[in-house]
Amino acid sequence: MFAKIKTAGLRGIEGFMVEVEADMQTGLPGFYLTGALSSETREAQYRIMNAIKNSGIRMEPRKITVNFSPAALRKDGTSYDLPIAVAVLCAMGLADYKEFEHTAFFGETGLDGSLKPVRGALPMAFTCRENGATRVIVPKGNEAEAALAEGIEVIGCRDIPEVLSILNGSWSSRDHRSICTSWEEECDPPERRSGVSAFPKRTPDRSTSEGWSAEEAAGAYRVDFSEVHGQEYLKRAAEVAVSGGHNFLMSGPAGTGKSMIAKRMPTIMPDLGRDEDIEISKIYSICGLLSEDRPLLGHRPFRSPHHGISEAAFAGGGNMVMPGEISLASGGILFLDELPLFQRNTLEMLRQPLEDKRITVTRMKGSYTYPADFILVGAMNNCPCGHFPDRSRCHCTKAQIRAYMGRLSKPLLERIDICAEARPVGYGELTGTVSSETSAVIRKRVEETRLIQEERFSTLGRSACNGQMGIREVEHYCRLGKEETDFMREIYQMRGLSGRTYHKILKVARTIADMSKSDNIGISHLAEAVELRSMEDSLFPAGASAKEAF
Amino acid sequence: MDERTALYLLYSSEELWTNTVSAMRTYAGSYENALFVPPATWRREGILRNSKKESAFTSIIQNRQPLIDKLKRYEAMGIKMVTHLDECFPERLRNIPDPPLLLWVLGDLPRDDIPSVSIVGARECSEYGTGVAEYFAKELAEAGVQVVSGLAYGIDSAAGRGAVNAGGRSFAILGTGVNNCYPKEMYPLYRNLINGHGGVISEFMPGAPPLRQHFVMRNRIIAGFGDVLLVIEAKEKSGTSITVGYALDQGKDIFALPGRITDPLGYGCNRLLKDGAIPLTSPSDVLEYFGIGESGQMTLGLKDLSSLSPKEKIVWDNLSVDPRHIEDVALRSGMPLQEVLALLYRLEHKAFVTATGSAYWARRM
Repeated sequence: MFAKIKTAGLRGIEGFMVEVEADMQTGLPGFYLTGALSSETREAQYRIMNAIKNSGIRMEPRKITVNFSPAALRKDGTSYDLPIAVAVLCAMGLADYKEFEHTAFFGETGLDGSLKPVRGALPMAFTCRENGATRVIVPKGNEAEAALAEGIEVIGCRDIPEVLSILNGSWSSRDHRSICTSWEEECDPPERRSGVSAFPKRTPDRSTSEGWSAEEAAGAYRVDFSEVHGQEYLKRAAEVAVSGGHNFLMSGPAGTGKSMIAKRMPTIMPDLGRDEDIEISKIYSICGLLSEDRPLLGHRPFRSPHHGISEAAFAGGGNMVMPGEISLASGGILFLDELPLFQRNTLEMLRQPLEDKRITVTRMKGSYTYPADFILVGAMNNCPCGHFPDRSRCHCTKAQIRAYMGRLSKPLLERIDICAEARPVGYGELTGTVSSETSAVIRKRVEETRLIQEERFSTLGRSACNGQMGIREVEHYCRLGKEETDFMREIYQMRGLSGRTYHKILKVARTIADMSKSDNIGISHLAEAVELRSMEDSLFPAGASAKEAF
Repeated sequence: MDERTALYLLYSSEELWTNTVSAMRTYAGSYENALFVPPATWRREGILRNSKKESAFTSIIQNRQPLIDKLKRYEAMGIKMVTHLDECFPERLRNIPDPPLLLWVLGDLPRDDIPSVSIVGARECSEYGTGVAEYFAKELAEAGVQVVSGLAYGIDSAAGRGAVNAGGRSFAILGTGVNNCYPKEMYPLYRNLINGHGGVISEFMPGAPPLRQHFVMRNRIIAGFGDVLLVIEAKEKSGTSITVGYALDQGKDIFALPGRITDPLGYGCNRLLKDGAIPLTSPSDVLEYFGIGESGQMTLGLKDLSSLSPKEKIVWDNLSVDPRHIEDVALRSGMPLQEVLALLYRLEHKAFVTATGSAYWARRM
């Protein structure tokens, strides 16, 4: 007999529907799988025979062929176990597959017939919904995650007998908790499904329905800006960076709180809306990083990969292609501590994501696209020993310092708008009881500034912020008055700035003006932006390339 | 072949240096004759004492023609060769112990009839040190004194810049070939020097790399070109003390800038002062020594603050010649960071302050 069952596969963050066809014929007994399967998917043939038998179902010795269509797309992962099992059970005549045209299945089986959670349940459930499925049957451990796809019935099962009871209609809802979110939400226009962006259209806060109250979300970070004593300049720079979506580099002596500030930057980013939360959680779902009872991440990610990280782990890749750290940082902060120590090849991977806000990993098997919309935050010492410019402790030579700074890649620096120098913190400030602002207070300001930017760029038809302005937009939105133009001309000549730095200063000045709710960019805004300017001009001066005069 | 070319050939290897080449000349009667003396004779006479020197000599003889071609190429590049046989060889260098026999010059040589000072000091110096070096070089250059220095980081290049900015003449003695700007960050100054503001001079062949021993050797020429030596900032043990040693050997007077007793950069100078160096407290100290009259009032560190607004004045008061972090300045001034920044940029425009690094500011001297 023949049977056809629906399931979903993943390719990057996007899913596609797969039909699993099983056919059972007389002939030499055997189990054949066809349709571009990876090795771990192909192993299903051994798992499933045992799982079905150990579930107490008698199998006739027959020739079973299972085909996956579309056969041309490569399928990997173990989520095809359950649909194969279901297709085989239907082919055995235990259920009629035609009744499950709008039901999709995915999950991994154990030899004893139990069902185990798989990675990527969240995006797969969304794929099923988008492709017309009204019900998905998944392992119990994936139930909560899949249920985030609203407007679709999700049934979590513990083992194959439970699935079978659903298939042949003997299933009683008493044993199962069917999660079906209210249907009226289905009437909401689906425009909520906007792509991941650090600056989303805010939807009415529905996060509470998932058990994330605002307080809980704040608690999820476990850190707060008020814990940072001193370093007002650095904190201010961090606020400017977050307000305008600018990439940010901190330099300065070791132990002055650079990492501390970076770690707290997600806490002052605008509250995570539900849609954005889901988009971010999808990536975590693919990596299997979500917990069973808390299917949504619920807070903005902070990723801090070590500088020894491989290119594949950083940008995404691997034998089974997986999102890398830069995708896991999407919607939050990607923090690179000791920036000059990173392999240059690794950092070069950042070029595309910093421009396009996504990364495409191309392998022989195909190319995979993952979101990568983060604010890049770097930290570095000014010399190998970490004490420069304190010359009483730093004995690095000029050449050593230059070599250390020279490890920074120029293309990367060009994409960083703000650089700020940390200052050694005095004992008094460290122990002082002067309470600093809490993250909540700063976040409120940031949200107001973001709102101004949203209005500004609303005509462009995309959500954006000052950090993403192109040259044309800079010229349009960052007009200077006469006095300000004179000021900038003076600075430009005195500091020997490059055109690129000049535009970056204007962008940052725009953000600073927005922060003070000023329509026009004033001298004080410019002065601060100049002070926060990127260091590429001082590191790579135009004239220093002349080694020999002749 | 003339004597100059023969000297050039013998001097082209650093294995045979001033002593050996002079001894050869004494033995053979002239540089030219020395080229025709067989190596065995040199060994017998004890002039080429080891095999390294011998093989250096033989390779010079063998590569005679390529070396002469090289000399023509250097001359085409505008690099002048000045030997002690020439009229124009600096008088000052003729009278020092172990004088160089040959100099390579881009630009000009210091003139013998104009007073000159050598200014040296630490590479890792303070903002105060560069400020003082620049100021003294400027004042002295304006009074017509030539400034000799080493193009190194810190004091050396500050002195060169000061003299050039004042439109005076300055000379850099290099530890590399004259066509090799080292360190390369000094290229703007280097280019100014070779284009009419003085010159760069080296006793090493064009293209010579920056070797450690080169810098020690060139220090005797720095000391040799100056009628006096000014030491701005130096640690207790440093390259500067080597230059001071050379200057004393040459019988020059030393001026030293008094340092703070707690400042490691002041130790070297204070030691010199204890040993009898002349305290350097104003450019007129040096000018009076030369008898060129006074440069007038010392203006270093004196600013006319009357043009500053009250708020600018507050910011100025809370700065020092040592760089301070902008946050420090804001805390001390009791004003918000953004306001202080705007004031600092205005003060920078008025040339009162200078940004010394990212987020660090200092008074401009």
